[in-house]
Amino acid sequence: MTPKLLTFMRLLREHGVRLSVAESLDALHSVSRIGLQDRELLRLALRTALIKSQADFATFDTLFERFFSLPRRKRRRRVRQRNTSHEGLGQRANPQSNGQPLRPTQPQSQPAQPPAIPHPAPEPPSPDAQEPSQSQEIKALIDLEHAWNQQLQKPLPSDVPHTTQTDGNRANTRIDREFPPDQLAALYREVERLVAPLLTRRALRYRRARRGQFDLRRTVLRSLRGGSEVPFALSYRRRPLGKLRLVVLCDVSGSVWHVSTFLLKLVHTLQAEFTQVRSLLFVSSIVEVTSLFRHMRFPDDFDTLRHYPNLNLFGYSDFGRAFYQFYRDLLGDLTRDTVLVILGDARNNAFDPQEWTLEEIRQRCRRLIWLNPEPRQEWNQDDSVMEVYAPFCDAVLECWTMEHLVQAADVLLQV
Amino acid sequence: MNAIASTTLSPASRDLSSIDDVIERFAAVDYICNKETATAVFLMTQLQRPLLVEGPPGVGKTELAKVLAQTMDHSLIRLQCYEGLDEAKALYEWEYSKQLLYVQMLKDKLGALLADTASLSDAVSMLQQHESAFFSRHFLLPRPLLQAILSPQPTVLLIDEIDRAEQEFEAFLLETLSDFQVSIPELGTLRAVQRPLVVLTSNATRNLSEALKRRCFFLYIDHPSLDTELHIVQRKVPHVDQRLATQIVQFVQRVRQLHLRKTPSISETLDWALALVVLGASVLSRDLITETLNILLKDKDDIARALDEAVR
Repeated sequence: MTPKLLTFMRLLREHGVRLSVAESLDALHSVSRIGLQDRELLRLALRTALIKSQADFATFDTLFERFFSLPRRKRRRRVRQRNTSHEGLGQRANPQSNGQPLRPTQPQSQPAQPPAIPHPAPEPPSPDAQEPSQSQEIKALIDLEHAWNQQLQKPLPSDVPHTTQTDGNRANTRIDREFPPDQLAALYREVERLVAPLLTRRALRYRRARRGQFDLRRTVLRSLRGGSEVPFALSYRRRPLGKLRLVVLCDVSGSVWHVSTFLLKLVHTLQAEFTQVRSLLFVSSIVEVTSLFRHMRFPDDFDTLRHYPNLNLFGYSDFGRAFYQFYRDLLGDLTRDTVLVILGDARNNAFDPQEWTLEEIRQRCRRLIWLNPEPRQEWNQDDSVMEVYAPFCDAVLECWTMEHLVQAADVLLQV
Repeated sequence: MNAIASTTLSPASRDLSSIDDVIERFAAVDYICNKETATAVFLMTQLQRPLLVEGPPGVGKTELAKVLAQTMDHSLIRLQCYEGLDEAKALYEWEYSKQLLYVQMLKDKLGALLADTASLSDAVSMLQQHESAFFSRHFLLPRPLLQAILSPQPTVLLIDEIDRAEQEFEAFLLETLSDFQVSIPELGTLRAVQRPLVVLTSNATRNLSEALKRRCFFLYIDHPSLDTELHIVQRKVPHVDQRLATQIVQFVQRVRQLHLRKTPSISETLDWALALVVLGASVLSRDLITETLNILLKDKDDIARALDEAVR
């Protein structure tokens, strides 16, 4: 069974599930405890050991279905072959041999199996002819693996090898264009990698702030006041750092869609750093998608956003209207601890910019950061009204490469 | 922070022998679980791996650890995670004030000890010989992790809501979970007498690190299916009318489909069922729902939406 399981694990890896060797070993051990009699139990055992995120459950289940319901004939033949050859070798990997009384009602499945189809491989091996039987088995296994691979590879959408590590410097990659899915996944991982040092730095800051600095003066004073020369309780000087709330307002009209996906990915990576994160999308009116992100898998699920109700991706972007809607419906949700991030090119299609709403919004939140997915020289050209909105923002940043994205993350993480 | 020792005695054999055995023995203590849960629990006890349990609040993640401890007749040690939890709160601490207190009380004794010494450096080296007296197990305050490691009896270590602690704490936890030994500079390395069974729970408010996940088995517990929930209600609310129970559970299941701020958990279903039984209801009428829905749902808007649903 082992080679087949290993093939299965390879298949999982190819579909983007991260598996370590330790996990594969765990899975093999689990299967040896569970046995192979019950397909459902096999599925659950493998899933428990291999899959560590609910988002990957669907992938796993689909692949399991596909993998473990392959042509009956071949499977049966293989079981038979393994059975005989193992008995010949006298070292069956039998679950019962571990002293685990597993499902005593069910007999060993192998003997019960009828030798339905006489397999084309030569005669069943005799106990003293171990060498040939083993090589036969290996040969048969290789054949089977080819057969499986052919079967499995047919429906796979992409078999392009991942080019994650090969092209090293991605910081200058432009993110305002479309990428093929596998490259996109690699880029998303890159976002996580680039942001990681920022998170470490921030964690350190919080840690220090929490512990505070030792305060000798206060320690001594306090102990003297209590009449003791030896300070029993130490005093610290603390300056507590609270976490902030984040509201992201993304323009997702055609021109900005790609950068928006990257920003959302960034926010997804940073979410632990805020007490609350809300994601809002708009073209001309605002739609809240926060709940969608609970079980989001990047990048596969992004396309679900495209079909989100009330989100007309083919409309004209209208910042004024979106801001007015925000002002009307969401102003009460802003607090002194809220950081508002707006992503948009400020191309208002000659609608009324209604900048007074943005001013009102600015007064209700801690900081307002605008990210513009266009190079700076293109701002305020044609229908772009960046300069109308800019006075109300604490920071206006360009955001069209990976590096810009990381800079934006840095600004976001400032308290 | 506190250790809860459950002392209920279980049937003669402690080890879980098969997946069906898990289901049966959990059911015996009123914990209804499905095959997924049972498989995960069985495998974790067999292979001695930590089990990471994820799922929405109130589906019985913490309860799972308690029940596991009870069925296997282990004591339960619980570490509740929160923002700002660090090693001192999780592993061990020197009892600084107790040390100082002893120094104060032993002042005379120390004076007598140091009376013969000629110089200051002699006195220091003399004191150093006795240093271990103040850094011994007497002054060590073991926190849950160390308690679990030092415990001579088998234990279940429950690390609750791990997603609330910071990422560095996770990294620290990894070290402990992989070898179950702790190095205390003053005392040397302390090794686990009994490898504790570790259950970690998480509400998935943030992604846990890959390294931690890799070392654990994973179980996702979702809200129960209609049958399971009905079963649970009948178990836990003994006097409930069959028809009423069905209606309650059906309604709760429907409410969960709505996009509410806070989805009702099993314990809230049970509270509601209990309340209805106390009120002597036999049928779930609309008026009754209107009057008692605040037991099931705790948010004004949620209640309004659920009432809309009830009308339909």
